[in-house]
Amino acid sequence: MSEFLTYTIIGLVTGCIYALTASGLVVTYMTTGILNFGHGAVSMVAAFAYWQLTIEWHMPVLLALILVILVGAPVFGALLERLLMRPLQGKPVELQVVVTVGLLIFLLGLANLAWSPAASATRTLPRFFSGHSLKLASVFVDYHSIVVVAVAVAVAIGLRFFFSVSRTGVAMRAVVDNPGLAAMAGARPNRIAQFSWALGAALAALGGVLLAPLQGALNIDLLTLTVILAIVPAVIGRLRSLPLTVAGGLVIGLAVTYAVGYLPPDSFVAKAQTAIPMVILFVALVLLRQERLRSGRVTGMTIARAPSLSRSLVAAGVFIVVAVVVSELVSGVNLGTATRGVVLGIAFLSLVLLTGYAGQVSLGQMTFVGTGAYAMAHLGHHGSLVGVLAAVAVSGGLGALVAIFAVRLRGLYLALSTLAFAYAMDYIFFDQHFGPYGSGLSVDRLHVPGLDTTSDKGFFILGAVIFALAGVGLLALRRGRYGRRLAALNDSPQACATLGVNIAYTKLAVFSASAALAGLAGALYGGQQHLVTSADFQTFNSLVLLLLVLLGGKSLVSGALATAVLYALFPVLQQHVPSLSNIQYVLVGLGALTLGRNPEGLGGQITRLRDLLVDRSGRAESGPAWTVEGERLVGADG
Amino acid sequence: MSAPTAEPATGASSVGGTEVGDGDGVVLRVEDVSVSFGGIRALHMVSLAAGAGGVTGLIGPNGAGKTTLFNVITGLEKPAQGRVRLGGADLSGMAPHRRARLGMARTFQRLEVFGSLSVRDNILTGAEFHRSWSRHAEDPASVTEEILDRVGLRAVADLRVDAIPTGMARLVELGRALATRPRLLLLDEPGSGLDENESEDLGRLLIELGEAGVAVLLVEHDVDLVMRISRTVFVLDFGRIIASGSPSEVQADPHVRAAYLGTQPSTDDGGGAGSAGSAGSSSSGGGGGA
Amino acid sequence: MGVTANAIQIANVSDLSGPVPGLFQGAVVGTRAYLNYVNSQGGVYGRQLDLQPVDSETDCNQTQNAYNSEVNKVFAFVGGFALYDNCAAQVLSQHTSVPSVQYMLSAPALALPNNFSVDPIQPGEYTNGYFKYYNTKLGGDVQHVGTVYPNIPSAVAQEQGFQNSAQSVGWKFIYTRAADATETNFQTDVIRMQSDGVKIVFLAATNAENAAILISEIRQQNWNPVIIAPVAYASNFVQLVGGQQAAEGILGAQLFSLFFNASDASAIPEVALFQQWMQRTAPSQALDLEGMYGWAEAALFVKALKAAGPRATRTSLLAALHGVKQFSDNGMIGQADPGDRQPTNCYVLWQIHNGQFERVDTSTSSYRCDGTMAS
Repeated sequence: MSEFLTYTIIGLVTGCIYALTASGLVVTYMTTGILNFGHGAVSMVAAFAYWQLTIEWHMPVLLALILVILVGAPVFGALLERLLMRPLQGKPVELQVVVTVGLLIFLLGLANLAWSPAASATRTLPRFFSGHSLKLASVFVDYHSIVVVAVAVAVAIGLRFFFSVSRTGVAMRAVVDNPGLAAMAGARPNRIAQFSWALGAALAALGGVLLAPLQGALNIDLLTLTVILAIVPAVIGRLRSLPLTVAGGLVIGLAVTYAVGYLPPDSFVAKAQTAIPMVILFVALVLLRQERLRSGRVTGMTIARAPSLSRSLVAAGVFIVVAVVVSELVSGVNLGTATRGVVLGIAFLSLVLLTGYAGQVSLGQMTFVGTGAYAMAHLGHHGSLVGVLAAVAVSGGLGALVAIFAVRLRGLYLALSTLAFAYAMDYIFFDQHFGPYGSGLSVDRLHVPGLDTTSDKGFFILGAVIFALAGVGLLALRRGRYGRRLAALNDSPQACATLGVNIAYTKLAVFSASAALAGLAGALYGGQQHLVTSADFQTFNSLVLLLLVLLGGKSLVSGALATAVLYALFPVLQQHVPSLSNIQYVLVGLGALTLGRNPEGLGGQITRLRDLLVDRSGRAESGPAWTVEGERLVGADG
Repeated sequence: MSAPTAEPATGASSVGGTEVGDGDGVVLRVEDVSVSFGGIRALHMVSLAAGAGGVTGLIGPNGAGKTTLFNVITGLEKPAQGRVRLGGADLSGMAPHRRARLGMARTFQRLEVFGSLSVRDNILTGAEFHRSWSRHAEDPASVTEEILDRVGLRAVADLRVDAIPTGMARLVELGRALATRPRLLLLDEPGSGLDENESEDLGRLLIELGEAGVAVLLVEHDVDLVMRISRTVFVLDFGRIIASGSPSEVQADPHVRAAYLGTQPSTDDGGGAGSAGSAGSSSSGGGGGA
Repeated sequence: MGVTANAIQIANVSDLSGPVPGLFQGAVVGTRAYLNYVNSQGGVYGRQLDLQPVDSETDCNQTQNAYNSEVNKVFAFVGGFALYDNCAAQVLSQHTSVPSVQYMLSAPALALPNNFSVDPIQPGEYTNGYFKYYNTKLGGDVQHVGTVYPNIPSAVAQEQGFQNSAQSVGWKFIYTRAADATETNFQTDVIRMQSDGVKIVFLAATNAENAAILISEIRQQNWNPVIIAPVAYASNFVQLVGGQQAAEGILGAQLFSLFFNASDASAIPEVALFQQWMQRTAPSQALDLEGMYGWAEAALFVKALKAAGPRATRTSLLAALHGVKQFSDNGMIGQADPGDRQPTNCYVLWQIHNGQFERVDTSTSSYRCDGTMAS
């Protein structure tokens, strides 16, 4: 019994940290409807800044705390809202996710540049009141943990008070419930949003400063990723109820502690401190009340018109010819990079289908690439086609399975369920099944009669051909009936339902198809170097994948190719220019941040430009020929 | 005047080989539907009926609950009590897409067009959807061309819907709804944003549809239009049906006047309807303004 | 290939960046330090040794790319340290004429005919010398051992080796948990180990930071098990664990010298040389395991290079490497047989006392060599 009490105390302390960081997440979501995936990065930067002030520059602790938590973080939060979040209002979910992921990546890169992991400097933060502890029910709890609990309780009470009593707090709640009415009553939504982001950032900073000393040495990635778990209690709190969020955090802290405390230590569950919250997340998402179908946006997305069949065939042909030429001119590492580029391009295309055409978000697409690679490794001996078919079937089937659970969910919740799935797969599958001690699986290259894929040249051409076929196929899809169906689904699911469309089934089908295409990419992926390791398919890479697809223009085949090649190229460039590694994080992050203002991504911008240049008559392919004056239609020339 | 009645359609007309109405030729029956949001009663014991052969109008001040009623009928909202019948069949618990497949289509007050598609493609998509779940569907391309002409959208067929005026976009929604050859058409303010000529055209089209055997339930702010083309009119105020009958009957009803103009009713009947706060929102009272 | 009249080109492929915080920058520095030392003595037969470091980015693909891009340019690969050396092995197995003198972790890499390591320990096996010692010294306590390590492939492999070896001489692990790589809270483990009757806490396959956290949590709970923490041999460990008092009495053992301590430096000239040249090459670089092995592998390389004579070719170097049957880098590491691929059975025992690592029951300049390989 005393053990139970002990574990309960430990679990509550752990839970308080979850609760605290999750509260900040909920506060920012409440008023702006944007879930900040970069929340953990804000905590991390705050912790490092605090270290810089107190340890490096010997500033008094209290002053440093004030500067970081009460000055620096709120200012940063307010800036974030003004520059990043405001343009995201009303934009589709994948854009919001990607921009906040971009923030995460950007801050990671910046932190790595500012505080580079040098072996010489071990950065540690001492615990508060270190050296002192209190004995509670046969466990010694150090003062730092007590501070954590006290702060968490104070914050919870404070927020409760704030939201029910203070004018700003009440206004913040009103803005969530009824922005129009709140505006009429004098509340200024912009000001309120800014305030809530300042508050949220301060809470993130507080969480970082409290959590970092518990992790031993300050670690950029560790701190950031730990806080991402705060999403789980936030979801339990339905992203709007702080008391539920706090409760959720405590529940998770307790669950993890009890699991380690009572389950056999070599059981799977005891290993998976991250998997438990993710399972809880998945369950919470599945149990969520079904969201009412809400109205969509009035304006449709700005997708460029799909090129005609002849145009896409010509483009495909030109592409293959270029590929052949490239294969003659380039060899070795560079040819390998080009191969990876086109193979990844196929994976990118799967997201063009899912996100670009159908407007659904997947934060775990690399998982399907990985399962495809796994299937090929096991069933594609000597390059047998069976391996590829298995890859497509396995990944497609898995996609359907996820969709069955996720399909009721929309927008952000759908995205989160794919994230939970991806994380779970990291632990359940990828860690265990990719060779002894994770050394990887050997994979054969797909054998195609008439083409010698054992040569690097041949394999590259195979990849290019398959990409071209996939691209042409996708474009044909978009031009036709299915493309219209997806566009309709994207523009107004509500209208589709009233036209007899079984939305759940349509979503399931497109999820499955997209996963199957990713699986195809996976079947080819390992073949390039005859070896595939699980690290390539970790969840983080899925986030980067989504980000790059959006940067390239999410509905553009050409955009997908361009960014896929970049993705393959960057690590190679980095080898020659070591400082590039963090710079590329910063650049990619910056790129993502600009997506808020340019949802079409760089690729989309380029296409628009091209359209404007090509059609000099003034009648752009994707724009109106008529302008609207008042309520009347007026011709472009009259 | 509290018991809603509807003049039954003359003769049993059929669409696509199925009986349109139940025994009385009534296609849509709403029975005692109540809906609450939080503490607010959005609809209270609402009953109405719409049959083929003509247009059924539904009017009422802003916030009366007309769109909510549509949401209940189409299955987007679940009523706390009551039921909806289509051709006699109870639709309780049926998902929206299944109700649609039984022959129901609607337009939306806040536009739900497929903004990224052209006008033609909006209608084409509707026809293609129809084709995907109905054995009796005709070739989508020809259906589309026919509807484009019928609704008068030929001139803008190739423009993106998010680039045309709202009034025209509403017609697109109407066309798209028609593409599924419904037997019940629920129209939520289709005339909003149309000028006089276009409004007349719309009125004519709706009457034609009614005569062709489609049951049309029309919600409109343009009371003039409703009175002109409807056979039966229901009046909704604060979630209750306060009047129903032929257009002339309804126009003469003091409760209706009170609801729209804010004056006290002379008769004492159930109270609550027509109190201050409901006036001033509609632009036309009975039989007058433009 | 890779040899000119004045210089020999050498590549060092190590993980210098990537998601895993195990940056092996030390390996580059250690190798470079040794080469600088040799160059300062005039090089080898008048040729300077030029080091080309390449970042394998903790990524299988990039490791392969790194090897592929260097394999036709350099004379040999020396001193590199990469988590995905199985991927490196794939490239090297296609170029078996290229010598590689590197500390490898994975089975495919260790099996390469062209790779030679100063201590080629196979994953899943380990020498049982110091397990035997503690068995004698601590008696029945070794039947109640608890350990926590991260669930990442390299650590799993290592832990398996330790446990197999220890169990073969009577140790019993009654509490073993493979924690998430992201876990930093081990309070529950401490409570559980305590109530399960654990007498020895063994920390080897984990990293110094996590070991420090776990040990400070042990201290906090006023629990006093025997702590055998080989991984604690790190220059910042005392700081990490919270000071001298917290570190007092921690025991450990390792297959190499106390390479960053002054005591070993004064007893073993090679250690002093190492410390001196590391300081000269990169004063801000901490002396860590990778650095030490980088140095030792470079020493093996140079020894064989000298033996191959002034007209050394890759082939003759490979032959010379084969011929090195005893190598301890002058006492820097436990003696092993790189030529025949036999890992070492030698070890030193230490404890932390007054904030310093000191040898225990081991002579000041040599090793105990009574272990046998067990798996």
